[in-house]
Amino acid sequence: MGQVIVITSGKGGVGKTTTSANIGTGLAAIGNKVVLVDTDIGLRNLDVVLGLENRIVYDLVDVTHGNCRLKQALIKDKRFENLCLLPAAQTKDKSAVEPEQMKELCGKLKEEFDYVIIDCPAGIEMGFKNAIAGADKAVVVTTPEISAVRDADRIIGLLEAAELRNPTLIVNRIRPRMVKNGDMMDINDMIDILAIELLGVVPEDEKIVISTNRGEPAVLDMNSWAGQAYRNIAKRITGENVPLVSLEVEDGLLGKLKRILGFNN
Amino acid sequence: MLQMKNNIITIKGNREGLLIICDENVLWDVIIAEIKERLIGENGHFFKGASVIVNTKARTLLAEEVGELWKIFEGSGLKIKCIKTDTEKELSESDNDQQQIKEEGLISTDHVNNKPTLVIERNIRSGQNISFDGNILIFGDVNPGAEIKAVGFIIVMGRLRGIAHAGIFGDETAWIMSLKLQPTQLRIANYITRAPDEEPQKPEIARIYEGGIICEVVENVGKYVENIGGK
Repeated sequence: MGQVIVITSGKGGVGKTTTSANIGTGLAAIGNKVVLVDTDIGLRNLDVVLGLENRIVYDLVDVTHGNCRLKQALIKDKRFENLCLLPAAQTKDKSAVEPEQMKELCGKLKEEFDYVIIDCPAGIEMGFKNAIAGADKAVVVTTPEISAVRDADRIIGLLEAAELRNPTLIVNRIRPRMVKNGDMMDINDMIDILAIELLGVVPEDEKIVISTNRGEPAVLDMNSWAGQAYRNIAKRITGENVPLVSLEVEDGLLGKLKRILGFNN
Repeated sequence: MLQMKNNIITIKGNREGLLIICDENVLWDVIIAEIKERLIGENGHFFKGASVIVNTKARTLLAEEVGELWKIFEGSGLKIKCIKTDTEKELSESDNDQQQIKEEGLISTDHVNNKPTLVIERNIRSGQNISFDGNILIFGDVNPGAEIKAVGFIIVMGRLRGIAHAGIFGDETAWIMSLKLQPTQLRIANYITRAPDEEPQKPEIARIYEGGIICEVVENVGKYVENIGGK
């Protein structure tokens, strides 16, 4: 029996979809059977980020309405045999699916897969309720901005109310140099407010933009900082104890050396 | 679903009085009916005069529900000491937990004012509202975007960064204390103020003084909390 993990944030644009795609791909790359489920009905993106848009025939709504079998709607990834995507419908809206149906669907998926990663839409309405309905665990994504942290706090409260206890946190798009200069919230400030366990920190990385546009998750790019962070997060999800990527920025040769060492651990 | 009748509420006695633990998965109406039947009906005379601590486990009560509970006990010769919620994870480890609740639940307010105190042991997050017809004591943080409203006073044994309103019905003797008083806004009775910009280094108490809200450093937090215990 696998686990269902929902990736959520409350605020839009903090990187839920990118995170879902990278964690899913990262987990598949180390040999797990993974299915990614896009629950952002009407605004689907996950297929684009994975570069699988042109293969969609059936979607989540077709499955829940019984227009097709579950197997028919699952799209195999082009890179990994053991990675599948269940895309969202683009022409319907969030009310096309009920939380009960999602629960049933997640139950079926986790019989077949080791990890069911659910990409949650922004907001706290129907789409959010659907996305968390069948989840066993939750990962909250935030960026180092007060507005994103505020929304993450709200989401954690709602997750607790829905009996999803002990969510973990991913801090996305952090810029170590700005943090060092005191221009950006640092990780301790965020942990202090949110009071949940840190799953990983993903640095701001231009390569993410490139990889997203190409439909190739950054987690497969061995030269990307963010990719390295996502690889570590995937390992942590499987239970491996991986130290955080060093984000220390120091000038001079010693600093550079430290960075390289941090990067390689 | 089959529900064993005596699981709806669990009644335990100790030297301080009765502890009533309510199952959080049962509808509130059912719990009320059960309390009425077991404590107040024909079987109820046994408990007369006892003081009661109600533990609602993971359930947070609405103001009306608290009122309802209050009325029932008031009309029955039982004395409510405090209403407690706990949203700890290990709800299932009943025996150990209840032991703990017994120890911790002995907080009443008799010696500070005549109002009951709601004790909460968790962080209050953005978007969550707590309002209570009495005092509120929180062991945890109150995050920005959260709102705490009490008819009496408020104590936050943690950071207070949301909005706190003490004395909502106009009690100007109400006060707000926190280990780190950094609220978005402070309200006492009909007064409203913003928090000072500098970060507090010590616990502070806010109260009304000569027509405005003032904040003072509290050297001995224990004094206030002890008072609630009435010991």
